[in-house]
Amino acid sequence: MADTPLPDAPAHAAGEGYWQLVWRQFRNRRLASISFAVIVILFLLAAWAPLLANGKPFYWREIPFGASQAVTTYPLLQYLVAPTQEFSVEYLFNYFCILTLTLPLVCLPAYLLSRGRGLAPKAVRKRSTYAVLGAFALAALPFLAPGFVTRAATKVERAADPAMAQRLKEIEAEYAAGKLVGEAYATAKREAAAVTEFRILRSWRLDERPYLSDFADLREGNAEVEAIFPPVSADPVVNTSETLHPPGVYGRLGARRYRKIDVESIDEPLPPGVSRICLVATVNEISGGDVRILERDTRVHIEEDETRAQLKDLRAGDRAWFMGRRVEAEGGGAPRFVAEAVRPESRPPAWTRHLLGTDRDGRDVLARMLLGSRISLSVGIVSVGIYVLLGILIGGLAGYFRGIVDLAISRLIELVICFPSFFLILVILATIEKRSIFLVMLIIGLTSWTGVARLIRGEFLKLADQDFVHSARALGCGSLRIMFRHILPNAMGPVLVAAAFGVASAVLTESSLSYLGFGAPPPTPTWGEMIKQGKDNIEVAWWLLVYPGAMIFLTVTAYNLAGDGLRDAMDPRMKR
Amino acid sequence: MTAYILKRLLLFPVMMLAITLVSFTIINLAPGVSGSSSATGDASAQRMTRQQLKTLRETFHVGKPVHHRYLYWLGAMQPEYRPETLTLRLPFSVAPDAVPGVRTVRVRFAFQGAIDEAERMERVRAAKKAEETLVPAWDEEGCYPRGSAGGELELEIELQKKALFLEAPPSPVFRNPQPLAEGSPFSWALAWERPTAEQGGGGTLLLQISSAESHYLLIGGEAAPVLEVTGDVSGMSFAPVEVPPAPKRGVLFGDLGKSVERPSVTVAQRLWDALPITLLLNFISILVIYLASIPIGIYSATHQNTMLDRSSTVVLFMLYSLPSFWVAILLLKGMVVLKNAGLPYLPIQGLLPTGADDLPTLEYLYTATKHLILPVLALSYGALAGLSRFMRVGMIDIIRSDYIRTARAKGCREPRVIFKHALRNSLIPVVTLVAGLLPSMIGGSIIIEQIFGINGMGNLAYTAMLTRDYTILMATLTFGSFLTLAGILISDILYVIIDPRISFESGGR
Amino acid sequence: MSEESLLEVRNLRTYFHTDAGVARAVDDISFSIGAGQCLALVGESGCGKSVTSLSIMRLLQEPPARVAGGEVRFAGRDLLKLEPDEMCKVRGAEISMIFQEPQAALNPVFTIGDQVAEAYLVHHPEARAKDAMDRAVDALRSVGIPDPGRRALDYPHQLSGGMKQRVCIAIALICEPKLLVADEPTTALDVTIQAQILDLLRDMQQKRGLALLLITHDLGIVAEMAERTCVMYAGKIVESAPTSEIFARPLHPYTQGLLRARPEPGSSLRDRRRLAVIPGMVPAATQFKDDCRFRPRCPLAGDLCHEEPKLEAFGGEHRAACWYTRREGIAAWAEPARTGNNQGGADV
Repeated sequence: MADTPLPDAPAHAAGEGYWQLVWRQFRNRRLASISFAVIVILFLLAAWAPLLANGKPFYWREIPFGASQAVTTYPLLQYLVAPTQEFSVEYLFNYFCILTLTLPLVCLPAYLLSRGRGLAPKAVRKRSTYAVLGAFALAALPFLAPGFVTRAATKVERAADPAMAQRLKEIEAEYAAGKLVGEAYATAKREAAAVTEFRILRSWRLDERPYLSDFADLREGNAEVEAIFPPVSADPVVNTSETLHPPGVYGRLGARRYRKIDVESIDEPLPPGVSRICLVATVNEISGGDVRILERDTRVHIEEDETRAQLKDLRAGDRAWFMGRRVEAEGGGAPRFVAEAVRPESRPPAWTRHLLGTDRDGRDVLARMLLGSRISLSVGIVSVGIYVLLGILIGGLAGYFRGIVDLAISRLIELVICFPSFFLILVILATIEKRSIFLVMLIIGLTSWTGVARLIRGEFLKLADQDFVHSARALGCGSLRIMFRHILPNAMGPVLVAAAFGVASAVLTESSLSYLGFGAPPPTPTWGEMIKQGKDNIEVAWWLLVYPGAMIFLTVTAYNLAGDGLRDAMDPRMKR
Repeated sequence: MTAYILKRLLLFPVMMLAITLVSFTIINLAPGVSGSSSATGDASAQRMTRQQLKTLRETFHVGKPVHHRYLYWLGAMQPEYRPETLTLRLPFSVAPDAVPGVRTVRVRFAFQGAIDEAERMERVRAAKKAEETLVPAWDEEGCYPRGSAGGELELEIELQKKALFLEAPPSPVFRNPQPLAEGSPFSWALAWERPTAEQGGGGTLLLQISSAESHYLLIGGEAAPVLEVTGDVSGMSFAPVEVPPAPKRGVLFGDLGKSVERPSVTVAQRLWDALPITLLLNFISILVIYLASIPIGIYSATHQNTMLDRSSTVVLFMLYSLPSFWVAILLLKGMVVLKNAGLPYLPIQGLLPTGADDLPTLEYLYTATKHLILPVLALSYGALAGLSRFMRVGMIDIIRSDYIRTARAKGCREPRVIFKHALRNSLIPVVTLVAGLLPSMIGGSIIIEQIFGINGMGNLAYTAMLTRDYTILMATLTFGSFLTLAGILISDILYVIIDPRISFESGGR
Repeated sequence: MSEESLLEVRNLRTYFHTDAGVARAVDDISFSIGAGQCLALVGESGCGKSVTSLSIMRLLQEPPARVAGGEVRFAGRDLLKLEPDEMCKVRGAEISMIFQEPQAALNPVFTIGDQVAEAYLVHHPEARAKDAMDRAVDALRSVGIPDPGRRALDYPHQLSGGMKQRVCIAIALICEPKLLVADEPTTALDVTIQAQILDLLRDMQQKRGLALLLITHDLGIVAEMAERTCVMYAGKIVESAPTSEIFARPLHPYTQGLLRARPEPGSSLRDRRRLAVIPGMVPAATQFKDDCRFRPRCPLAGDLCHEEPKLEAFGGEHRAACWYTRREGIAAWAEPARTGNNQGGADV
């Protein structure tokens, strides 16, 4: 343009390639660097999530039932190396978690060792490659032999404390005789056995029940505790599934079955065969053994003492499950309710207990958000990876071979574009009954490749006419080589930008799918599912709505900013 | 230009056909639709009731060979007509010189029936399980023997001078179907239609044969029903029996099947009810988007780097990154908070309050608009942000171009330069964005309609997904895609009309 | 400088404020054009000649660019002090401009008749559309476009480059301005078309008494068209003289180098000389200091050159800005070397 007649200042520093130039321009933009930092932080948070949101404590020292020696286990470590039965997202992120520890462990000494030597750049590169590969291999080792790690990490103390063993025997005898029940039993045992543990955030997953210390143990007489959930496996490493608790579900407490009802329907006739109900309500006021609940101004009376002890965990504004029976009022008044067990449900944020509150089942919101970031990030990156590869392949074929291939592929692209992508994803997920996170990734990948394909096709059409392609062909390069080694690197620019925006859009799609119930299967924490809970409890639990949504917003903004920054960095006019 | 437009218009039905093929393939992955011909073969299909399975099998022709099923569903091939109820018409006329008196007429009729395949296999299986031998009345293909459904009627027709009626006249409507035989799944009922005055003497006998659940009547070919009239028929002439023609089935004839969840309602009916609402919502959203983002884009481009431009860029960028369902729920929560605080708030449920039809027009429009504000806002803010940015970038590029400099050098003042020269050029790519806007609106309206309780196509699709109503799902998917295709077509044609640079001889893009 | 000159530029400075610093693209230049005269502004790419023309027309984007000083007197008024609306009245009606790239200079979505007529309508808003269109067709005819009535309905993409440039000339001249600024009007065109456009411009000049400010880097065009020439280098005018004098007796080393660098057909074959070049590159506009800007590339560079030379007269209208050659007329450059190659063919 004649408007700016400045001779262009040379933008390349000496010896700088195209991508180094792009990276330098990217770094110079403040917003883009910030967004990149945020992305890295999010990724690290996702990788370290189990270390922060501890389902299992870092270490757990106790005297098991019937033994007389203390045993220290490291449940978190066991979880890290063997999170699930089959391959899942957890494995991948746990690997990255361990990788972040081994990389500095290996590379730092290597760097220090080779610093003073004054090696040639090529040798430095070779050494650093070996160091990095070594770190990767080292990180993979524990996963190959999880049992070995578990055994090696368990420590049995040699000396047995006879006084402690005696005390434990006494406590078990009292329990068997029915004299010591409920919370008192758990507390006594814990005190006697000098159980110690350490964790950062309590997330309360099912397989953590052996490690829970503030879980209101519900016991009745001598019956084994099952609470509302099916029994867990004795092996704490194995992850078992939880269940959702929609109204109507039957829960068991000991030998009794409770049907969960909403407080609005407290005076509706009970279905036949149901005598005990589990009422979900908001606590308004606690006085003595009575709880006044907010909705319907119903009084809940707690009869037994140890059940009253469970009230100490409740505050006004908490939601709780009251399990018991309904007592019809004399004279046609509102029915009363007698509770045999109480369990706190969703809790608002509080500095002392749960930083961002708990959800409908009492699970800590911050912990679930951290774990949910694993799902969102993996869906984002994997599905974008899938559709970028697919788009490159298809678009490349169309743009390079042209003619009938281009015609057919263009018509195919037009056909796929006709289907609204979100709609299509939903329909496919709804028709396939199986729910799995990998399926979600695959479906998102299979439906969104058209944008990248068109981009690549356009670039290939433009570039295949250029002289460097002709010369490559004259040298005898085969088509495949020309396509992927000569043309593709030149076309990658816009694709990277599209990929960055694609991750943002995939995260939005995944959260929308989870919100509608078609995302990852139930026990998996996802941000969309937490927002759904927030909507269902919109009058009461604003924290379920605000925080996961803010997290989604943050992630999406970071990726959008990164995409913007990348695009500006590659724009030849915007030199900095 | 016309050649191009014609070519695209001709391609339109071909693309629609391709869409239906892809949709059909997808829905066929569903349990109950895919799988063996037996209704209870698929384990997860057992969760469906028999009625639901039957509706599915009827609509998607489960059990037929797979390469035919699509054609049957489409309506390109018609399946065998297998009604459960059949009404035969037997017109007769009376000669003017007929002798009055009572006639005894015997009507003998014979049909062939069959049992539904699923039912047949169920009975066979049940018998096998109970270890009893089953003596079926039907053959291996489920057909009852020829003439198995049949019987004889004796009627006494009294001919009178002026009018004529049947002795113990059958009712004008069918009443009390009688089983043809003890335990027979088929029953018959009789009615007759009086002639109108112009037709003179005569009338039509209506014979209705109905079958019990899981049975049907065979009509075609050798199984054609037979009706024989014997007896004293002097003065009367019976025309040949009229078998009603098979109704045309298939999408091409407007038959989309019945809703699996509620078989009394046809899918076409539900779609017809829901579609206008979604169209209205989307149309208004698109209008809002364009009307708002074009001025914002122009302003941003001409007042670059001012405080307003910078802050609006930041705000729009943030809007672009917000998940739409979250925004909708936050708006909902905001209204709840306002309501609890006693402040004025916008309605959050549905499109019209109950009893809205009684309101006068102005109030009707007012309350309809109030109801529309929040859903339209939630649906359009993302695309508004995106389009504003796009307009801004486009305008900035164009303002830097040479022909704008020429316009200024001519002496055009700045408003003329922007609004005549620059705007026209920058609108061209914006028009093509309509094609991309419509599919995301249709996808987004699923969530928005569900949150705000609007009974449009999105909500219909969502409930269909929850209740596994595959017929409705299929219809919404196909129609959503048709709408998108229409949007693409419109924007392509508009693009070709607006931009004079497109040369049609070379085929455009 | 005679008082009846049409355009008088005095001490014009235009600076660009960029992240890399202030670029002094045009630094204190002065020249004048009389009515009906043609002045050529010559220099290599990046010397500031286009910026000069845009500054006169005030077509530069104000945020990075800024006219930092000087005067542009046209018909008694200082154009730099006019209100934007006033300047709009001047542009197109009294001073017009045509640009380098005819391919991009016309709006692709309007017909060319529309665009030519607009140039008339903007300055005569009371005119009727049909009158304006008639005048547009006449203008197209006068620039030599065949069948102008039909061509007026065409879109720009249907025209060739040469035709588009003619249309631009038609647009520029429809309101009969007194001065036409032509910024490299033929650089993007083929040689044969070039000749036609130049003929057209000369024709217009003679018929209408049009003054022409011709900006180019092609000395051949200068020789053909211009009565007077100013040579610019790095934002300054280094030599200014009637064209014949520039070619006969160039005073400034830069001018001498330019003239020397022209390849003469056949000469290298005969004499087997190397093509002469001016070594080095134009310095970046942000890095000018107070010394002579040509100093790094000048064969005569000496002690006096740490101070910037002023344009001084040397015999009548001939002015040059150099400490050394302007007095004595020294030849700054040596003959280009012979090559030792005895065979025929061009040397490189």
